[in-house]
Amino acid sequence: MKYSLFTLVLLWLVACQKEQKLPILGERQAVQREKDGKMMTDTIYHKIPAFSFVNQDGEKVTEKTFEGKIYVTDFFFTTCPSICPKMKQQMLRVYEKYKSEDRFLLLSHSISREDSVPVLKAYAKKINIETKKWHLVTGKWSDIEKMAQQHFVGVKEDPNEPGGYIHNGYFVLIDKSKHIRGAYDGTNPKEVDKLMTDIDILLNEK
Amino acid sequence: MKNKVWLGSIPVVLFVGLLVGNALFFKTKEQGKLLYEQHCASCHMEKGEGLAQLIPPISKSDWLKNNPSKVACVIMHGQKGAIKVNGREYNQEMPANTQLSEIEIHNLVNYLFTNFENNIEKRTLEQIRQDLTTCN
Repeated sequence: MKYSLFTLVLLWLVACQKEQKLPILGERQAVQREKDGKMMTDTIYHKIPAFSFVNQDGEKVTEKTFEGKIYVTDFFFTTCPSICPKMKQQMLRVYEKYKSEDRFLLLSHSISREDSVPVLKAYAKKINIETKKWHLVTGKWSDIEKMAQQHFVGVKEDPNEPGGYIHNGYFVLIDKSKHIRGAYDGTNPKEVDKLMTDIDILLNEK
Repeated sequence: MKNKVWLGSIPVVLFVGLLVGNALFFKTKEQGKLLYEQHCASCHMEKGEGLAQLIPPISKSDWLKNNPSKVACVIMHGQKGAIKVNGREYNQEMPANTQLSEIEIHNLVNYLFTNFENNIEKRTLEQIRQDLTTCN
């Protein structure tokens, strides 16, 4: 009796896990449209807009690079003395786990004007990552800033801060349709565990 | 009679002395740990493991062992240029911590030397003061 109850609870837990679906984050809009003579309401979810940056190999990286893939993105800079090393340590965990997963990519936006392509290249070499799996990108500062806002990540230039910039350390999970499906504190190993669980859920989503 | 009271107070004095000594000892240890968490752990990580080939480790560091007199300067003024730690080359600028006092650096250095699986002889405050006069 005890065991069957235990099994039941276990089955229920497994079943729940299977049905688990990640929310779509961000503002949503209701839009009216006509279909077969009837008015219908569609929900428009927040989407990451088109972008164009350059990665550590000097290649152009756009939204098309991530077509049909889910990806995790963050905002950092190579000389950041505060939270970035921790974020990169955690991002490396994600990288190691999913580097052979074809449907998954990583994208780190640099928020420093000093992070040129060669600087990003040297950084990538030091953390030993492959460009085709993990793009470190740079671009016009205002474009990067806009991109951060689109991910609800705050970035700011501040000469009084160590390193000259402030930003928060979110890892943002984006699905194939460019919707935000999760945001995790990239300096917290437990939150990054949760991110990896959510990546698995998203990979199984049809 | 007077003598007896005096003798009786010896254990009390000893006890209080031990208590104060303990408190001071643990406070300096505590300060080293707090300073590490505040100023070092975000890059060198909580367990001192560093990060890939970007940030050198503190734990079991041969560089610390071989350069005990240089550590205070590195903490105070940062580090530029390549250094080799445990057989790996690192070349990422470390920021300065000029806001730290000599005593704080002393406690921090000894915290590094006696934790993270380092077993390096502690430095005296005098030595740290001397070390700090040799910084470039």
